[in-house]
Amino acid sequence: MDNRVVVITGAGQGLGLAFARRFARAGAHVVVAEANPTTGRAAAERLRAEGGSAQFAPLDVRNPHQSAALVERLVNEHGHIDVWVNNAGISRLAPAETMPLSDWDDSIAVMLSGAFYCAQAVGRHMLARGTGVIVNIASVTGMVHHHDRAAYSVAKAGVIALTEALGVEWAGRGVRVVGVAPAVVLTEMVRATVEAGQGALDVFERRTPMRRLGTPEEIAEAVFFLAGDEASYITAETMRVDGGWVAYQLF
Amino acid sequence: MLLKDRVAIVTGAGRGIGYGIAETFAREGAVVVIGELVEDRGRAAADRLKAQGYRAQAIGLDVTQPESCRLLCEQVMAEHGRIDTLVNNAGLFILRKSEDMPEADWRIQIDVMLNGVFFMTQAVARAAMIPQRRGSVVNIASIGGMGGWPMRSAYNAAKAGVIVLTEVLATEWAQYNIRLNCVSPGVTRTEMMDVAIKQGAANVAKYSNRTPLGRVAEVSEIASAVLFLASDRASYVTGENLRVDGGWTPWANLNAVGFPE
Repeated sequence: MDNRVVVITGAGQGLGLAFARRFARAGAHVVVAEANPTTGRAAAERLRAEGGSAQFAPLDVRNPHQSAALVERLVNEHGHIDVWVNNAGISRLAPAETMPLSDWDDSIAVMLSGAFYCAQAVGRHMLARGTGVIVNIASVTGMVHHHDRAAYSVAKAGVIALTEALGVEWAGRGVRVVGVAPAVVLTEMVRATVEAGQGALDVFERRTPMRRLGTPEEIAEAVFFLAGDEASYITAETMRVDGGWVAYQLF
Repeated sequence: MLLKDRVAIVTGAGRGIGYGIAETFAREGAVVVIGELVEDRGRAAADRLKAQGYRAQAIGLDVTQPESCRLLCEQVMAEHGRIDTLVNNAGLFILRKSEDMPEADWRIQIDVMLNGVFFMTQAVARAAMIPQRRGSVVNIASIGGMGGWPMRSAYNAAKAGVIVLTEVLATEWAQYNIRLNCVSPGVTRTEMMDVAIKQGAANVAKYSNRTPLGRVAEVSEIASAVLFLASDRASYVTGENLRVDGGWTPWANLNAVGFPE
């Protein structure tokens, strides 16, 4: 990953930050594309303090003008973008029958439309260059479903289909589009969900054949693998990193 | 080195994808055991690896015979004391119209590629991985295991079976810290394929055109995915079927030339 430019959306915290660390450790220049300037700046500083090369770039993925402008700016600055990780996400949990429509709209806007806007913007650059990898962070919740997560589930299922559609469409022109589907990982977002009384960790652990939650580093390793040349024949594919969550279909 | 001093068994590793996996594992520091039905071919492959300075040995193996699987495991345990990784790669392929498929052709494909995977995995789990409370298994499935390809009923049914078998065993043996995953390669350039091309029995252009990526896979591209899943880099990945297919399966090819071929 030496000298590759890697953009990670939502990298101010949680999984995104773990991804940023993995790429930075391998010698990439990491762009922390983050809607929250406080966490975004702090993350970039932390990466640099750890010896990595990183910069913060403000980005609200809901706004396609922002993603297009960011791609243009980064290409001017660095000459190329090699990897783009669509990671930005939000969690809005509510029973479907009472879910505020704004929760639905926000979920689709950030996780599905946002991923497409970014992919389109960076895809144009990568196609013109004839090389590049886009990694979409999906979720096992886009494959098997449980209550209160209609918006999240549908957005993530959309991301899985988006990975296949773009992967197929751009495969012949040097751009790979891949995905990673984590199960529950102990991030700040999950911790907040648990603290808000909307889920208990032991329930997730019991449901997982491996009987533990995944770590951010384990998800990052899969993202890093798929983004690299070792995965040169993998495209339009979403890899589950879920401790057996989806495979398990009994009681 | 991702597999330093790990003991890895690769079935059907005398040539093709299996040999590529064996070579990749050896390069990553593993002690490689080649389980081969054709013993001369297994020995030749082990010699090739040893000539490169790697640690390798060949042991005769008929995966359709549980006793053969058991004996191989017994020998490996006696010599190395552990088995860290198993790759179920052995396979064969017979193209037949289903209405004309002889019983023997159906049975041998199911026997080698589905029954054999179960027998071998069970033997390794019993002899080593369950007592060790540790292990990683990678099964070579196929994009054929995920859909309908005319004249390949036994092959595709066996591979589909392997994909679900992997899910079942992954959920059953997670408690023993054994991970099981599949890699589903697309059409891959192997020695066998080169021979088929020379004989006019395979047409690379046809496969390439059916693949969004526009080319068939190299063996090394399959082996790198197997290595990832076999290694600790994939410590939270189990029950997964990783497609290494250049976009083959999700593509609704509108340039289909008709079927059966």
